[in-house]
Amino acid sequence: MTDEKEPYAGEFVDAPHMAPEAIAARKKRNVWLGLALFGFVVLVAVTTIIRLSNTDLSEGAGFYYSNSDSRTPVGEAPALPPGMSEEQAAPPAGLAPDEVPE
Amino acid sequence: MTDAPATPAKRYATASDYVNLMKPRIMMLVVFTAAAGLIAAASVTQTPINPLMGAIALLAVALGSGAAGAINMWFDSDIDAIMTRTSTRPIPSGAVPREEALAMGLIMSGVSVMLMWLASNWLAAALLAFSIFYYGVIYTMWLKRSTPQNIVIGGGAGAFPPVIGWAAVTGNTPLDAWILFAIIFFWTPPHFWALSLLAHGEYEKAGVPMLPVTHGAKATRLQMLLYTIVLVPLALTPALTGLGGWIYAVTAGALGAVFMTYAVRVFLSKAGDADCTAAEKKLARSMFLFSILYLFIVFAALIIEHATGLYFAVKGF
Repeated sequence: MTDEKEPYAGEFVDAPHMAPEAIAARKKRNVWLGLALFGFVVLVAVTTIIRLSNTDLSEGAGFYYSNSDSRTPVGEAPALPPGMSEEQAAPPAGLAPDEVPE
Repeated sequence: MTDAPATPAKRYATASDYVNLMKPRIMMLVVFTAAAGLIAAASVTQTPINPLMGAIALLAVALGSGAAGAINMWFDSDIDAIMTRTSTRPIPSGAVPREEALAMGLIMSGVSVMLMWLASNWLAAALLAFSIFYYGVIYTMWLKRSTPQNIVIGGGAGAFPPVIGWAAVTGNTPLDAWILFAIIFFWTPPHFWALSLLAHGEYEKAGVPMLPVTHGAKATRLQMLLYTIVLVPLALTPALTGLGGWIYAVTAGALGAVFMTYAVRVFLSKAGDADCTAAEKKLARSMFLFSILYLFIVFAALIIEHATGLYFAVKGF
Protein backbone atom coordinates (compact mmCIF):
# COMPACT_ATOMS: atom_id res chain seq x y z
CA MET A 1 0.00 0.00 0.00
CA THR A 2 1.21 3.48 -0.78
CA ASP A 3 0.35 6.99 0.44
CA GLU A 4 0.86 8.44 -3.02
CA LYS A 5 -2.18 10.40 -4.13
CA GLU A 6 -3.88 9.21 -7.27
CA PRO A 7 -3.65 11.92 -9.94
CA TYR A 8 -6.96 13.29 -11.15
CA ALA A 9 -8.88 11.32 -8.53
CA GLY A 10 -11.98 13.26 -7.70
CA GLU A 11 -10.65 16.64 -8.69
CA PHE A 12 -9.44 18.52 -11.71
CA VAL A 13 -5.84 19.53 -11.62
CA ASP A 14 -3.96 21.72 -14.02
CA ALA A 15 -1.34 20.24 -16.25
CA PRO A 16 1.99 20.55 -14.42
CA HIS A 17 3.65 22.58 -17.16
CA MET A 18 1.16 25.46 -16.99
CA ALA A 19 2.47 28.63 -15.38
CA PRO A 20 0.19 30.53 -12.98
CA GLU A 21 0.01 33.35 -15.52
CA ALA A 22 -1.18 30.91 -18.16
CA ILE A 23 -3.85 29.53 -15.85
CA ALA A 24 -5.03 33.05 -15.00
CA ALA A 25 -5.17 33.98 -18.69
CA ARG A 26 -7.10 30.81 -19.45
CA LYS A 27 -9.62 31.60 -16.71
CA LYS A 28 -10.17 35.06 -18.12
CA ARG A 29 -10.64 33.66 -21.61
CA ASN A 30 -13.13 31.15 -20.30
CA VAL A 31 -15.15 33.89 -18.64
CA TRP A 32 -15.31 35.82 -21.93
CA LEU A 33 -16.19 32.65 -23.81
CA GLY A 34 -18.97 31.96 -21.33
CA LEU A 35 -20.31 35.49 -21.72
CA ALA A 36 -20.17 35.17 -25.49
CA LEU A 37 -22.11 31.92 -25.40
CA PHE A 38 -24.67 33.43 -23.04
CA GLY A 39 -25.00 36.43 -25.34
CA PHE A 40 -25.55 34.14 -28.30
CA VAL A 41 -28.32 32.27 -26.48
CA VAL A 42 -29.97 35.58 -25.54
CA LEU A 43 -29.79 36.81 -29.14
CA VAL A 44 -31.36 33.63 -30.49
CA ALA A 45 -34.09 33.87 -27.86
CA VAL A 46 -34.75 37.54 -28.64
CA THR A 47 -34.96 36.97 -32.41
CA THR A 48 -37.28 34.01 -31.85
CA ILE A 49 -39.57 36.01 -29.59
CA ILE A 50 -39.70 38.96 -32.01
CA ARG A 51 -40.37 36.67 -34.95
CA LEU A 52 -43.14 34.86 -33.13
CA SER A 53 -44.69 38.11 -31.92
CA ASN A 54 -44.77 39.34 -35.51
CA THR A 55 -46.33 36.10 -36.74
CA ASP A 56 -50.02 35.79 -37.48
CA LEU A 57 -51.15 32.98 -35.22
CA SER A 58 -54.84 33.44 -35.93
CA GLU A 59 -57.03 30.83 -37.55
CA GLY A 60 -56.61 30.81 -41.29
CA ALA A 61 -52.99 31.93 -41.13
CA GLY A 62 -51.98 28.63 -42.60
CA PHE A 63 -49.66 27.40 -39.86
CA TYR A 64 -50.08 23.86 -38.56
CA TYR A 65 -50.68 25.17 -35.07
CA SER A 66 -53.44 27.53 -36.11
CA ASN A 67 -56.26 24.92 -35.81
CA SER A 68 -57.57 26.06 -39.14
CA ASP A 69 -56.74 23.05 -41.26
CA SER A 70 -59.21 21.00 -43.28
CA ARG A 71 -59.21 17.95 -41.04
CA THR A 72 -62.62 16.47 -40.20
CA PRO A 73 -64.16 18.22 -37.20
CA VAL A 74 -64.47 16.04 -34.11
CA GLY A 75 -67.89 14.30 -33.86
CA GLU A 76 -68.65 14.21 -37.57
CA ALA A 77 -68.37 11.05 -39.62
CA PRO A 78 -66.03 11.16 -42.58
CA ALA A 79 -67.44 11.13 -46.09
CA LEU A 80 -68.13 7.65 -47.46
CA PRO A 81 -65.97 6.27 -50.22
CA PRO A 82 -67.57 6.34 -53.70
CA GLY A 83 -70.05 3.46 -54.19
CA MET A 84 -70.54 2.66 -50.49
CA SER A 85 -74.04 2.92 -49.12
CA GLU A 86 -75.08 4.03 -45.62
CA GLU A 87 -76.18 0.44 -44.84
CA GLN A 88 -72.82 -0.98 -45.82
CA ALA A 89 -71.03 1.53 -43.67
CA ALA A 90 -73.28 1.00 -40.64
CA PRO A 91 -71.94 -1.09 -37.73
CA PRO A 92 -73.27 -4.66 -37.31
CA ALA A 93 -76.74 -4.89 -35.87
CA GLY A 94 -76.82 -4.99 -32.08
CA LEU A 95 -73.34 -3.51 -31.68
CA ALA A 96 -73.49 -0.54 -29.39
CA PRO A 97 -70.64 1.98 -29.52
CA ASP A 98 -69.47 1.22 -25.99
CA GLU A 99 -69.80 -2.54 -26.22
CA VAL A 100 -66.86 -4.67 -27.19
CA PRO A 101 -67.74 -8.07 -28.76
CA GLU A 102 -66.21 -11.04 -26.99
CA MET B 1 32.00 39.28 -21.17
CA THR B 2 28.67 39.88 -22.77
CA ASP B 3 25.24 39.41 -21.32
CA ALA B 4 23.10 36.65 -22.76
CA PRO B 5 20.32 38.01 -24.95
CA ALA B 6 17.15 38.50 -23.00
CA THR B 7 14.50 35.92 -23.78
CA PRO B 8 11.23 37.64 -24.63
CA ALA B 9 8.59 37.04 -21.99
CA LYS B 10 6.05 34.44 -23.08
CA ARG B 11 2.72 35.99 -23.98
CA TYR B 12 -0.55 34.54 -22.83
CA ALA B 13 -3.58 35.27 -24.94
CA THR B 14 -6.02 37.76 -23.51
CA ALA B 15 -9.51 38.60 -24.70
CA SER B 16 -8.08 41.58 -26.60
CA ASP B 17 -5.87 39.25 -28.64
CA TYR B 18 -8.99 37.46 -29.85
CA VAL B 19 -10.63 40.80 -30.56
CA ASN B 20 -7.58 41.83 -32.61
CA LEU B 21 -7.87 38.57 -34.51
CA MET B 22 -11.18 39.92 -35.85
CA LYS B 23 -9.54 43.04 -37.34
CA PRO B 24 -11.74 45.49 -35.39
CA ARG B 25 -10.86 48.58 -37.45
CA ILE B 26 -11.98 46.94 -40.67
CA MET B 27 -15.01 45.62 -38.84
CA MET B 28 -16.08 49.16 -37.88
CA LEU B 29 -16.09 50.32 -41.51
CA VAL B 30 -17.88 47.13 -42.58
CA VAL B 31 -20.61 47.60 -39.98
CA PHE B 32 -20.95 51.28 -40.83
CA THR B 33 -21.45 50.64 -44.56
CA ALA B 34 -23.87 47.79 -43.79
CA ALA B 35 -25.83 50.16 -41.55
CA ALA B 36 -25.99 52.67 -44.41
CA GLY B 37 -27.44 50.02 -46.71
CA LEU B 38 -29.92 48.91 -44.07
CA ILE B 39 -31.14 52.40 -43.18
CA ALA B 40 -31.33 53.53 -46.82
CA ALA B 41 -33.29 50.41 -47.79
CA ALA B 42 -35.81 50.91 -45.01
CA SER B 43 -36.28 54.56 -46.00
CA VAL B 44 -36.32 54.21 -49.79
CA THR B 45 -38.65 51.20 -49.90
CA GLN B 46 -40.71 52.31 -46.89
CA THR B 47 -40.18 48.87 -45.37
CA PRO B 48 -40.38 48.95 -41.59
CA ILE B 49 -37.76 46.97 -39.71
CA ASN B 50 -37.76 46.13 -36.04
CA PRO B 51 -34.86 48.18 -34.60
CA LEU B 52 -33.68 45.27 -32.47
CA MET B 53 -33.71 42.93 -35.46
CA GLY B 54 -31.77 45.56 -37.44
CA ALA B 55 -29.19 45.76 -34.66
CA ILE B 56 -28.87 41.97 -34.55
CA ALA B 57 -28.45 41.89 -38.34
CA LEU B 58 -25.60 44.42 -38.00
CA LEU B 59 -24.09 42.35 -35.21
CA ALA B 60 -24.19 39.37 -37.56
CA VAL B 61 -22.33 41.42 -40.17
CA ALA B 62 -19.74 42.37 -37.53
CA LEU B 63 -19.29 38.74 -36.51
CA GLY B 64 -19.02 37.69 -40.15
CA SER B 65 -16.37 40.35 -40.74
CA GLY B 66 -14.50 39.17 -37.64
CA ALA B 67 -14.74 35.56 -38.78
CA ALA B 68 -13.26 36.42 -42.16
CA GLY B 69 -10.49 38.39 -40.42
CA ALA B 70 -9.62 35.42 -38.19
CA ILE B 71 -9.49 33.06 -41.18
CA ASN B 72 -7.27 35.58 -42.99
CA MET B 73 -4.90 35.82 -40.03
CA TRP B 74 -4.79 32.02 -39.72
CA PHE B 75 -3.80 31.59 -43.36
CA ASP B 76 -1.46 34.58 -43.56
CA SER B 77 0.38 34.04 -40.26
CA ASP B 78 3.58 33.09 -42.12
CA ILE B 79 3.77 36.34 -44.10
CA ASP B 80 2.47 38.39 -41.17
CA ALA B 81 5.52 37.25 -39.21
CA ILE B 82 7.82 38.56 -41.96
CA MET B 83 6.30 42.05 -42.29
CA THR B 84 7.04 44.56 -39.53
CA ARG B 85 3.57 46.11 -39.74
CA THR B 86 1.85 42.79 -39.07
CA SER B 87 4.42 40.98 -36.93
CA THR B 88 2.71 42.03 -33.70
CA ARG B 89 -0.59 40.39 -34.67
CA PRO B 90 -1.88 37.72 -32.26
CA ILE B 91 -0.60 34.67 -34.17
CA PRO B 92 2.93 35.78 -35.18
CA SER B 93 3.45 37.27 -31.72
CA GLY B 94 2.77 33.83 -30.24
CA ALA B 95 -0.28 34.83 -28.22
CA VAL B 96 -2.85 32.79 -30.13
CA PRO B 97 -2.22 29.37 -31.71
CA ARG B 98 -3.03 29.14 -35.43
CA GLU B 99 -5.55 26.35 -35.03
CA GLU B 100 -7.47 28.40 -32.45
CA ALA B 101 -7.74 31.28 -34.91
CA LEU B 102 -9.08 28.93 -37.57
CA ALA B 103 -11.57 27.36 -35.18
CA MET B 104 -12.72 30.78 -34.06
CA GLY B 105 -13.13 31.93 -37.67
CA LEU B 106 -15.15 28.88 -38.67
CA ILE B 107 -17.39 28.90 -35.58
CA MET B 108 -18.04 32.63 -35.89
CA SER B 109 -18.83 32.21 -39.59
CA GLY B 110 -21.55 29.71 -38.74
CA VAL B 111 -22.88 31.78 -35.86
CA SER B 112 -22.99 35.00 -37.89
CA VAL B 113 -24.81 33.44 -40.84
CA MET B 114 -27.30 31.73 -38.54
CA LEU B 115 -27.96 34.96 -36.64
CA MET B 116 -28.44 36.85 -39.89
CA TRP B 117 -30.95 34.28 -41.10
CA LEU B 118 -32.84 34.44 -37.81
CA ALA B 119 -32.87 38.23 -37.74
CA SER B 120 -33.67 38.83 -41.41
CA ASN B 121 -33.93 36.42 -44.32
CA TRP B 122 -32.10 33.72 -46.29
CA LEU B 123 -30.81 36.11 -48.97
CA ALA B 124 -28.97 38.34 -46.49
CA ALA B 125 -27.60 35.23 -44.76
CA ALA B 126 -26.45 33.75 -48.08
CA LEU B 127 -24.77 37.01 -49.09
CA LEU B 128 -23.02 37.18 -45.72
CA ALA B 129 -21.83 33.58 -46.10
CA PHE B 130 -20.57 34.32 -49.60
CA SER B 131 -18.74 37.48 -48.50
CA ILE B 132 -16.94 35.52 -45.75
CA PHE B 133 -15.98 32.89 -48.32
CA TYR B 134 -14.92 35.65 -50.74
CA TYR B 135 -12.54 37.23 -48.21
CA GLY B 136 -11.36 34.10 -46.43
CA VAL B 137 -10.88 31.85 -49.46
CA ILE B 138 -11.06 33.72 -52.79
CA TYR B 139 -9.00 36.73 -51.67
CA THR B 140 -6.81 35.31 -48.89
CA MET B 141 -6.05 31.85 -50.26
CA TRP B 142 -6.30 32.27 -54.03
CA LEU B 143 -5.66 35.87 -55.05
CA LYS B 144 -3.42 37.54 -52.50
CA ARG B 145 -0.28 35.56 -53.28
CA SER B 146 -0.91 34.92 -56.94
CA THR B 147 -1.85 38.15 -58.74
CA PRO B 148 -1.18 41.90 -58.50
CA GLN B 149 -4.91 42.34 -59.07
CA ASN B 150 -5.46 40.73 -55.65
CA ILE B 151 -6.95 43.74 -53.92
CA VAL B 152 -8.96 44.79 -57.00
CA ILE B 153 -10.87 41.52 -57.23
CA GLY B 154 -10.64 40.93 -53.50
CA GLY B 155 -12.17 44.36 -52.93
CA GLY B 156 -15.50 42.75 -53.76
CA ALA B 157 -15.49 41.12 -50.33
CA GLY B 158 -15.41 44.47 -48.57
CA ALA B 159 -18.05 45.87 -50.90
CA PHE B 160 -20.77 43.44 -49.89
CA PRO B 161 -21.85 44.92 -46.51
CA PRO B 162 -24.27 47.59 -47.85
CA VAL B 163 -25.83 44.98 -50.14
CA ILE B 164 -26.23 42.64 -47.16
CA GLY B 165 -27.76 45.46 -45.11
CA TRP B 166 -30.19 46.24 -47.92
CA ALA B 167 -31.14 42.59 -48.39
CA ALA B 168 -31.71 42.22 -44.64
CA VAL B 169 -34.53 44.76 -44.88
CA THR B 170 -36.16 44.07 -48.23
CA GLY B 171 -35.16 40.52 -49.10
CA ASN B 172 -33.83 41.64 -52.50
CA THR B 173 -30.93 43.58 -53.96
CA PRO B 174 -31.98 46.33 -56.39
CA LEU B 175 -29.73 48.61 -58.43
CA ASP B 176 -29.27 51.10 -55.57
CA ALA B 177 -27.71 48.38 -53.39
CA TRP B 178 -25.28 47.45 -56.15
CA ILE B 179 -24.35 51.12 -56.67
CA LEU B 180 -23.20 51.18 -53.05
CA PHE B 181 -21.31 47.96 -53.75
CA ALA B 182 -19.62 49.58 -56.76
CA ILE B 183 -18.59 52.66 -54.78
CA ILE B 184 -16.68 50.55 -52.26
CA PHE B 185 -15.34 48.28 -55.01
CA PHE B 186 -13.77 51.18 -56.93
CA TRP B 187 -12.68 52.91 -53.73
CA THR B 188 -10.60 49.94 -52.57
CA PRO B 189 -7.70 50.06 -55.11
CA PRO B 190 -6.69 53.72 -54.61
CA HIS B 191 -7.18 53.29 -50.86
CA PHE B 192 -5.06 50.18 -50.54
CA TRP B 193 -2.41 51.05 -53.10
CA ALA B 194 -1.77 54.35 -51.31
CA LEU B 195 -0.69 52.24 -48.35
CA SER B 196 1.22 49.72 -50.43
CA LEU B 197 3.23 52.54 -52.05
CA LEU B 198 4.68 53.10 -48.59
CA ALA B 199 5.05 49.44 -47.63
CA HIS B 200 5.98 47.77 -50.91
CA GLY B 201 9.36 46.76 -49.50
CA GLU B 202 7.60 44.74 -46.84
CA TYR B 203 5.32 43.06 -49.37
CA GLU B 204 8.33 42.26 -51.54
CA LYS B 205 10.10 40.70 -48.56
CA ALA B 206 7.04 38.55 -47.85
CA GLY B 207 6.61 37.58 -51.50
CA VAL B 208 3.19 39.18 -51.90
CA PRO B 209 2.75 40.41 -55.49
CA MET B 210 1.27 43.81 -54.77
CA LEU B 211 1.10 46.11 -57.78
CA PRO B 212 4.02 48.35 -56.67
CA VAL B 213 6.15 45.22 -56.30
CA THR B 214 5.31 43.67 -59.67
CA HIS B 215 4.74 46.74 -61.87
CA GLY B 216 6.49 49.51 -59.97
CA ALA B 217 5.33 52.66 -58.21
CA LYS B 218 4.70 54.66 -61.40
CA ALA B 219 2.22 52.11 -62.79
CA THR B 220 0.54 51.96 -59.39
CA ARG B 221 0.13 55.73 -59.20
CA LEU B 222 -1.47 55.67 -62.67
CA GLN B 223 -3.85 52.88 -61.66
CA MET B 224 -4.78 54.82 -58.53
CA LEU B 225 -5.63 57.84 -60.64
CA LEU B 226 -7.72 55.79 -63.11
CA TYR B 227 -9.73 54.13 -60.36
CA THR B 228 -10.31 57.51 -58.72
CA ILE B 229 -11.54 58.91 -62.05
CA VAL B 230 -14.14 56.12 -62.10
CA LEU B 231 -14.96 56.40 -58.40
CA VAL B 232 -15.71 60.12 -58.12
CA PRO B 233 -18.57 60.30 -60.68
CA LEU B 234 -19.78 56.86 -59.62
CA ALA B 235 -20.20 58.13 -56.07
CA LEU B 236 -22.60 60.77 -57.43
CA THR B 237 -24.96 58.29 -59.09
CA PRO B 238 -27.05 57.73 -55.92
CA ALA B 239 -28.19 61.34 -56.39
CA LEU B 240 -29.37 60.43 -59.90
CA THR B 241 -31.30 57.31 -58.88
CA GLY B 242 -32.94 59.03 -55.92
CA LEU B 243 -31.03 57.04 -53.32
CA GLY B 244 -29.13 60.16 -52.27
CA GLY B 245 -30.48 63.68 -51.91
CA TRP B 246 -28.88 67.11 -51.87
CA ILE B 247 -26.85 66.52 -48.72
CA TYR B 248 -25.40 63.37 -50.20
CA ALA B 249 -24.73 64.96 -53.58
CA VAL B 250 -22.91 67.97 -52.15
CA THR B 251 -20.91 65.82 -49.72
CA ALA B 252 -19.90 63.23 -52.33
CA GLY B 253 -19.09 65.97 -54.85
CA ALA B 254 -16.91 68.02 -52.49
CA LEU B 255 -15.08 65.03 -51.05
CA GLY B 256 -14.71 63.55 -54.52
CA ALA B 257 -12.96 66.72 -55.67
CA VAL B 258 -10.51 66.43 -52.77
CA PHE B 259 -9.98 62.73 -53.47
CA MET B 260 -9.29 63.51 -57.12
CA THR B 261 -6.82 66.21 -56.12
CA TYR B 262 -4.96 63.72 -53.95
CA ALA B 263 -4.92 61.16 -56.77
CA VAL B 264 -3.52 63.70 -59.26
CA ARG B 265 -0.89 64.93 -56.80
CA VAL B 266 0.21 61.39 -55.98
CA PHE B 267 0.29 60.56 -59.70
CA LEU B 268 2.55 63.52 -60.39
CA SER B 269 4.78 62.71 -57.42
CA LYS B 270 7.42 60.02 -57.01
CA ALA B 271 5.70 58.41 -54.04
CA GLY B 272 6.83 54.80 -53.76
CA ASP B 273 9.93 55.30 -55.92
CA ALA B 274 13.37 54.69 -54.44
CA ASP B 275 14.25 58.39 -54.67
CA CYS B 276 10.98 59.80 -53.35
CA THR B 277 11.11 62.52 -50.74
CA ALA B 278 9.66 62.45 -47.23
CA ALA B 279 7.01 64.92 -48.37
CA GLU B 280 5.94 62.57 -51.16
CA LYS B 281 5.72 59.67 -48.72
CA LYS B 282 3.63 61.88 -46.49
CA LEU B 283 1.39 62.71 -49.44
CA ALA B 284 0.69 59.02 -50.12
CA ARG B 285 -0.02 58.48 -46.44
CA SER B 286 -2.37 61.48 -46.39
CA MET B 287 -4.24 60.04 -49.36
CA PHE B 288 -4.58 56.71 -47.57
CA LEU B 289 -5.98 58.38 -44.45
CA PHE B 290 -8.24 60.69 -46.45
CA SER B 291 -9.65 57.73 -48.38
CA ILE B 292 -10.91 56.23 -45.10
CA LEU B 293 -12.47 59.55 -44.17
CA TYR B 294 -14.01 59.82 -47.65
CA LEU B 295 -15.85 56.52 -47.46
CA PHE B 296 -16.94 57.17 -43.89
CA ILE B 297 -18.39 60.62 -44.61
CA VAL B 298 -20.05 59.67 -47.91
CA PHE B 299 -21.91 56.81 -46.24
CA ALA B 300 -22.59 58.99 -43.18
CA ALA B 301 -24.32 61.50 -45.48
CA LEU B 302 -26.56 58.71 -46.73
CA ILE B 303 -27.38 57.64 -43.19
CA ILE B 304 -28.13 61.20 -42.07
CA GLU B 305 -30.48 61.79 -44.99
CA HIS B 306 -32.47 58.62 -44.49
CA ALA B 307 -32.38 58.33 -40.70
CA THR B 308 -33.22 61.93 -39.82
CA GLY B 309 -35.67 62.87 -42.57
CA LEU B 310 -33.26 65.41 -44.07
CA TYR B 311 -33.62 63.88 -47.51
CA PHE B 312 -34.21 66.49 -50.19
CA ALA B 313 -34.37 64.93 -53.64
CA VAL B 314 -32.20 66.34 -56.38
CA LYS B 315 -34.82 67.75 -58.77
CA GLY B 316 -34.80 66.75 -62.39
CA PHE B 317 -34.01 63.12 -61.70
